[in-house]
Amino acid sequence: MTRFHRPTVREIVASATILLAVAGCSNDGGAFEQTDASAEVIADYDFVIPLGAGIALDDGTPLDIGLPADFQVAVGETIQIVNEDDRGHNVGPWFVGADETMRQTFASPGEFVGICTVHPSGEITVTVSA
Amino acid sequence: MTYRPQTWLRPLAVVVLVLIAASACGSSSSPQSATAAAFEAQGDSPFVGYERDPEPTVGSVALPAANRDTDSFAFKAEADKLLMVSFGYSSCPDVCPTTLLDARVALNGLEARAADVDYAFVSIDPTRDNAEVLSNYVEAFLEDGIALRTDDPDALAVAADAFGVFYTIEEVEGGGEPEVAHTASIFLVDDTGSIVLTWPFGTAAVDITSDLNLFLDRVQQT
Repeated sequence: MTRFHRPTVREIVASATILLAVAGCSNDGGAFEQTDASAEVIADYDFVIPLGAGIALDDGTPLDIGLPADFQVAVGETIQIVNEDDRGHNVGPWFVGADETMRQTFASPGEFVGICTVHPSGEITVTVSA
Repeated sequence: MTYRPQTWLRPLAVVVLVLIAASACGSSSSPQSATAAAFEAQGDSPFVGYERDPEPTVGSVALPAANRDTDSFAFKAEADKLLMVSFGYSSCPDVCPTTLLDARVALNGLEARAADVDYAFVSIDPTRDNAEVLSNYVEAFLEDGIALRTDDPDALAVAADAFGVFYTIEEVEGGGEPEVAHTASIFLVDDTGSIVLTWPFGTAAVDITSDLNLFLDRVQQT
């Protein structure tokens, strides 16, 4: 059956890991400290979920997070999300717990298409190009 | 109203991410992708999955295993091994089967090293996933897969929270199948009970294999 093959867009659209995407971002995220490297590595894209984001959302206050609706990245680039809030947040395909830092290097070309409930456009597309 | 998976998927697109993993194929001569090797050479993360810092610990959390002789299977790999974990339900129309099939392909890619990686599937729908149903479901994809379920909603919530997993089951007015939503990531747990890596839904199996090989190298260093 089709569903047992490498997922197509329609098949994977049901990923619920990314429900209720909530994110905050800024340009001053801290450097990620690798556990096996002495040098600090600066991510290509830094986002910060601010303290109080969850409460603000609970109160119905939309967050203009600044995350571009059409987020273009390249293979080899790295995204980092620092969650300064006191609760975990789902941000697109990622979950970042309270006081955690998430870091991922894009390894394969592809496309993340999703809706961010806090983004003014309501939608975020992450395109990873070769 | 009758529950129709395809209908359910469309509105869910409003809150769902789509990942197209374009690299479904790769060299079979090396388990580590060229990309991962390149990252490693640059000092960046060699992994395809994403890392959380500090690594969340889940080793103290346990659930009953439906197909094992234990009521307390801890989310912790055996010594020098790894444990993959995902949450879902056997009635899932496509996400869970895709996840489990990708896991099987990824583990097959490990060849003999697959014996050093266990896989646990946690049901977020224990009402329909009784022990037999869940065990049969998991083992249909992964012969040695561990089927975890509990009738205690609090225990399930504790386990899900530990991983950062979201799930909802909503009854449909007028009967019919409930609408279910859940995190579909695969988590990698080491022998200290830490989540060392997470693969978003849709990560290519070959990339998961690459990550597993790298982590096995790491945990099996003597």
